[in-house]
Amino acid sequence: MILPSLLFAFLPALTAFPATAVSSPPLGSPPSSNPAQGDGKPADFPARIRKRLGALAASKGNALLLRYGTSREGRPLVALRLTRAGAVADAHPRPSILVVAGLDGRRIDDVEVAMGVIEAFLDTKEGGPAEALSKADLYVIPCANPDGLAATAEGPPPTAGNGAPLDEDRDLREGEDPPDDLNGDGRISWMRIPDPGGEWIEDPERPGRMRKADPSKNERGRFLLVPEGKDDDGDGLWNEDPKGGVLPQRNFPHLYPEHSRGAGAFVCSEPCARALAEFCVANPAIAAVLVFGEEDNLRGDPRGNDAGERRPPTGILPEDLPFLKECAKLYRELTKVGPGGRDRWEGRFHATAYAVLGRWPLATSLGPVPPPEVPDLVGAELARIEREEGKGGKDRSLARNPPATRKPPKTKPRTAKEASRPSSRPTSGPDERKAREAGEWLPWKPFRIPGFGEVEIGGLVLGSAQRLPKDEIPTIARTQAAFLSALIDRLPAPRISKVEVRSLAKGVVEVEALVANEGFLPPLTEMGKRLRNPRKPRVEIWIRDPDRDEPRLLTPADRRPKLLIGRPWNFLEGLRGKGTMRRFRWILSTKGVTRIELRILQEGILHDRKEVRL
Amino acid sequence: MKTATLILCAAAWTAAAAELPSQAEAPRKTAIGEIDNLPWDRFYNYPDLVELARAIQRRWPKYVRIEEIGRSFQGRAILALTVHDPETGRAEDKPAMYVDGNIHGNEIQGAEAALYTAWYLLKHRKNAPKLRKIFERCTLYVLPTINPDGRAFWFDEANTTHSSRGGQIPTDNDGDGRYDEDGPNDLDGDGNLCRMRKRTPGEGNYKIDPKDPRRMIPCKPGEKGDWILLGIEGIDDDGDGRINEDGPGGYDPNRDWGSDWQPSWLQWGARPLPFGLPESRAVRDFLLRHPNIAGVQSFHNFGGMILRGPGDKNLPYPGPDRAVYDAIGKKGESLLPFYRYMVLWRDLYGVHGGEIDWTYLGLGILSFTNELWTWERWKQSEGKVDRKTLDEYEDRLAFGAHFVPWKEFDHPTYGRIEIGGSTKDSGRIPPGFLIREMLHRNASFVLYHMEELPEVVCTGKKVEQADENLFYVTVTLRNERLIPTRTAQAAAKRIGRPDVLEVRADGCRVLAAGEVRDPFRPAATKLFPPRFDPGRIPIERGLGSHGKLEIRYLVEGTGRLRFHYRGEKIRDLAFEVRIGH
Repeated sequence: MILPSLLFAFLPALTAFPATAVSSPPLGSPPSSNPAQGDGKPADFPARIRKRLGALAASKGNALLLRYGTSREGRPLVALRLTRAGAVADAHPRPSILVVAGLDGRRIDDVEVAMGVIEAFLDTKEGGPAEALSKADLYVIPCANPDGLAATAEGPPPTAGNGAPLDEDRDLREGEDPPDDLNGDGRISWMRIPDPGGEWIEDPERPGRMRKADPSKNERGRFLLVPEGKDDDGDGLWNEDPKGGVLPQRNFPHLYPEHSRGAGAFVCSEPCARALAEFCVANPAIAAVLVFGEEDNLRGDPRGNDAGERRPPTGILPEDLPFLKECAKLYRELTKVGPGGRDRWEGRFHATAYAVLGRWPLATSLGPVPPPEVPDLVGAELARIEREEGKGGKDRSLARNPPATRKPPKTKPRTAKEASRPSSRPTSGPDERKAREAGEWLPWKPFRIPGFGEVEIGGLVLGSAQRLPKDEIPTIARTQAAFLSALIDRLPAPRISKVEVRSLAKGVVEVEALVANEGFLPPLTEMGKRLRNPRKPRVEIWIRDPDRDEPRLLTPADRRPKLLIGRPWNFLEGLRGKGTMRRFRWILSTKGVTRIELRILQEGILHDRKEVRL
Repeated sequence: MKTATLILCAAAWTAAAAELPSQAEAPRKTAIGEIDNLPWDRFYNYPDLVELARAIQRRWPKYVRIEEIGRSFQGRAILALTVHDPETGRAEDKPAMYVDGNIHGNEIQGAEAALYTAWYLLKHRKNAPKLRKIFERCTLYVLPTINPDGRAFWFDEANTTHSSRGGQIPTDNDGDGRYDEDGPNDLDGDGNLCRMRKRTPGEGNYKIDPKDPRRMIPCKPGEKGDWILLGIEGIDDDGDGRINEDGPGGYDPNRDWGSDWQPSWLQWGARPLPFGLPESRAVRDFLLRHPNIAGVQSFHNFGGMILRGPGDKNLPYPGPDRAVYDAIGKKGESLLPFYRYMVLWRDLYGVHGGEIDWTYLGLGILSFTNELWTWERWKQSEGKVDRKTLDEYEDRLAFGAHFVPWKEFDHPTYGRIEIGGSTKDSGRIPPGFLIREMLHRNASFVLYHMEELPEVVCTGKKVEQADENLFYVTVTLRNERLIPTRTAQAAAKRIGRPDVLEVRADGCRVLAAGEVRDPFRPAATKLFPPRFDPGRIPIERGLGSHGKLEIRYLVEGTGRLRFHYRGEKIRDLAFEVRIGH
C-alpha cells in the first residue's frame, strides 16, 4: 500500500508536464510519416507554421515547443508554451491559459491571429502583453486540425473537417462528389441554375444576393442553388459527397451529437480532438481556454444553463455566469467588436473544457463581424433525398445548423436554445453593412457545363465567411493579445493576506491565516467543483527539517512542531471573486521550532507562500 | 520459391487436417487438466485463465485463433478467441457473436461463462445438430476478461466480495493529490477484507443478532447498543484522520464508453474522458475491426438478470429493435430459471457510458448483459432470499466456509476491536457444485442468440415477359432469423455500411429496379432513386427480423443475371436468374 502511494505521489508532477516530457521534434522537421514532409514536396501550411513556432522557440528563452499528439494524416500536433523568462524548466506548473485555433480547417486566418498573439507575447517592449507572463503561462495551439488546414491551404474547396473518408450520400462510395472549381478562378462559389422547380430568387433589394422565394408574397422560385461543381459520380446530385471528413469541432464529449453529420464514428474518434482533450486533462494548471473559431460567447452575453439539475448543462451555470459575463464585457471593450455570433455546444471543445474539464470557456469568432449563417445546401439536399426515399430521416442539416432567426438582441444572458441559434443581426449602421458583406461575394457570371448546359457561377465564395480581412489580421491579433493579457490579470490568485501568531501557553501557539482571492476569477468554476477537476487549492503547513534542505509538508506524526488541533492541510473552499476571504486556524506545540511556512498549492501550482515566525 | 513451398506445405497440412480432424486436434491433457473433461467447478485466477484459453486453442487449433488485442494498464494481455469453422469461410465473412466477461474485476464468473461457451460449442459441434449449424454458419469472438488487472487483484489480494470492481489505474479518490494511498488493509492476514466492530457498552448503535451471533443488527430508535461498526478492515495509511478513503482504483470500467457518456459528477466511476481506459479502447478497436459482429453479450454478476439498455430513459431504442430484444430476452428467461429480463434504467439503475449502450447505440448491435448467479439458486425455488436465508444455506451447503468468525485485534486508531464477517467468495459467486449449471445455461442463452444471427436466403425468382424483348425479373429475399441484418438503430443513424444488392447482367441489360411493396398490386413497385445504379442498390434498412425484400427489375434482352446480396453482418448470398432459357 505504502510503496504504490509513494510511487504515484509523483504522478501529478509527471502528468502536469506530459508534453514537456515528450521531446519536441527538430524544428520544422516533423516525422517522415508526415505526408507533407520528407518526400520532396514543399512544406504544407501546418509544417510552415511549425517551422515558425520552432524558430520562435529556438530564439526565445521563454518559449517551448511541445508535441502533444499526431493527426489522422500523421502531422505533428504542437503547442507553444510561453512563460516568464527562465521558467521553461521550472518544476512547478504555473497558472495557464490555453489558446486554440484552427479546429475548423477553413479558418486558416485564425492561425495567423494565433501566431500574431504569440509574437505579441514574445515582444518584450515595456507595457506590452509579455509582462503578463510574469503571472501566468500561455499555451498556444495555432493548428489544432492541421489536416483540414493543409487541405484548405491547398484547396479549393476549403475543408472544415480533417479529410477522414466518409460516405455522406450512403451510396457505398466515399467523397466521390465534391465541389469543383469549374471556372478555374481558384475559388468555389455557388451555381444558380434556371429551373422552374427551383426555390431561389435573386433578392430584389440586394441585387446579386439570393434568397428563397416566399409563396405567401406571390413569389415563385426561379433557380436551383448549389455549390459550384459538377455531378462527378453521375448520380443526378450535385456535390453531395465532399471530401470534408470528420469535423473535429463536433467530436468532443460534451453534448456529443452522436451520429450527426461530421461528428465522427464515436466521441473523440479523431486524433486531433482526442489529443487536445487529453492535453487539457494532463495540464490541470490551465484555468481557462480561449478558442478562435465559429463559436462565440464573448461578443454577446454567454449562454446560461437551461438543463435541469443533474443533467448535462446546456450553458454556463448561474454561479459562474457573472464572471464570464464580465470577461465578455472586457473583451468587447478591448476589441470593439459588434455583438452577435453563435455559441453552439454540441461536441464543441470550449463546452467540453467547461462541462467536462471544469475550465473557464471562452470562444470568439475574431472578425469585425461574426460569420454569417451560410445555408447548408448539401445537408439540405441529403435530407431531402432521405425524405423522398422514405427513410424517415429528419432534416439533418437543419437539425445541426438551426435556421436563422431575426430575434432582437437580448440584454439578459442567453439560454442554450437562444445561444445555439445565430444571433440577431445588428439593425442599423455600419455593423449591418459589415454583417452583410462578411465573406467574399462574386458577381454572377454565365458558365457552360459540358453535357449539362448554361448555369451562372457567383455569390458567396465558400469558406470566405470563415476568413478574416487580411489587413485587419495584425490588429485583431494585437487586440486578442491585449485581451489575453487582461485575462491573465484576472486569473484566480489566492494569497495569504495576513497571518497572526498568538501564544496560548509556553511552547503552544495559535496560528491564524487569512487567505483572500486577489484575482478576479474564482479558483475553481462551479462546474470544476462538481467535477473535482481541477482539484481544489489547499492551504498547507510546511516545515524544514534540520538535516534537510528541502522543506516538506507537516504530518500528524511530526513532533517538532506538533499539530495539536487542525490538519496539516485544508482545502481552500468558498473563495469566489476578488476579495473573498477564508480564515484558517491551527494550534501547534512548537518545541523549539521557530519557523513554519504556509503554502497555497493547487495542482502543483504554488499560488503563494509565507514564512511564519512562531 | 520458399514462400511457394511453405504455402504448399501449409495447404497439404490443412488438407490432412481436414481429413483427419482427430489428429488436428491437439493434446487433451494440459496444465490445468484434461481439456475435454474439464469439470468447470472452479474459477481461475488470471494466469490460469490465460492458460485455460490457450489450452482450448491448443486443443482445437484448426477452429480457434487466439490473439492479444491490447494490454491492460498494468500490462496484462487482453485475449480474444476467434472460434469458427474455416471450412465454411473466413471468420470475418460470417455473422458473429461477441462475448466478453469480467468488465468488473470482482465479477469473476463472466470469464468462465465466456470461455465455457466456446469450449462447449467446440466440444459438441459434431454431435448436436443445432450446434453444428451454428458452428458452420457463424463466428464466435470470446474475450474472457476485459479487466485483467481487476481480476488479478481480486484473486491475488485481500478483498471483499464487492471490492476490486474497477481496474488498477491509480486514482485520487479523496482529492488530496495522492493516489490510492489509503486503501483497506488485511489486518489479520487471512486473505479477506472483513468488517471491524468495537464494543462500546451502552453507547453503540448496533447489537449482536440474538438468533445468529455472527451477525450485527442495527438498534431500533431509542434502543442502546453495545457495538459500533467501523467499516472494512483498514488503518489510516496516510495519516489524514480518515480510514480507507482512497483505495486501489476508484472508477468503473463500465462507465467509460462513448454513447451517453457523462463526467463523474453525473456518473460515478467515469474517467475524465470517454474511452479513457486502455482496456475499453482495446475492446472498442476490436469491435470496430469486426463489423460482422451482430450480437453482443457481456457477462457480469450478480442478481439473475438479463439486461438490455438503455441506461437512461431519455435514450430511445427504436420499436423494431425492442421487439427483437424482447423476444430474445423472454427466451432467456425460459432458459435461465430465476433470471428476469430487465431494462437497465427502468428496472435496475441508470447508467451513463455503459458498454452495452455503446455497442447498441453507437454500433447498432443488439446487446445484452447477464448478471450471473442469483441467491435463489441456493434454495432452487422462486422467491426473495434474504440475508438470513442465505446464511442458512451457506452454512448448510458451504459448511460455514463463507464466514470468518469475529476475532480480537489491536487497532492503531480504534484500540481493541474485533474483525470478522463474510469472505470474498460469498454472496456474488456460486459454490463449486453450482458453477457448471450457471455457465451452461448462460452459454445456452448466448448460443440461442447466436443461432438467431441474421441469415439471408433467396426464396423466390420469377421472370415474366413485360413486352417485346423486355422482362420483369422479381427476386425475393428473406431473413430467416430473428435478428435483422441491420438493426433499426443502425439504419436510422447510418451506422456501418448498408446492405447492398448487386446484379451483373450477362447478355442482357438492367434498365431499372424497384421494390415490390405490395405483392398483390405489382404496379405499386417503388422505383429506387435514380441516383442509384440499379446494378448496385444500397439497402439501408437491410432485412428486418424474419423480414422479406422483393425487388423487381426491368431487363432488356435475354441472358443471365448474377445476384449478390452483401451485408456486414451476414454471409454473402449469391444466386442466378436466367432469362429466355
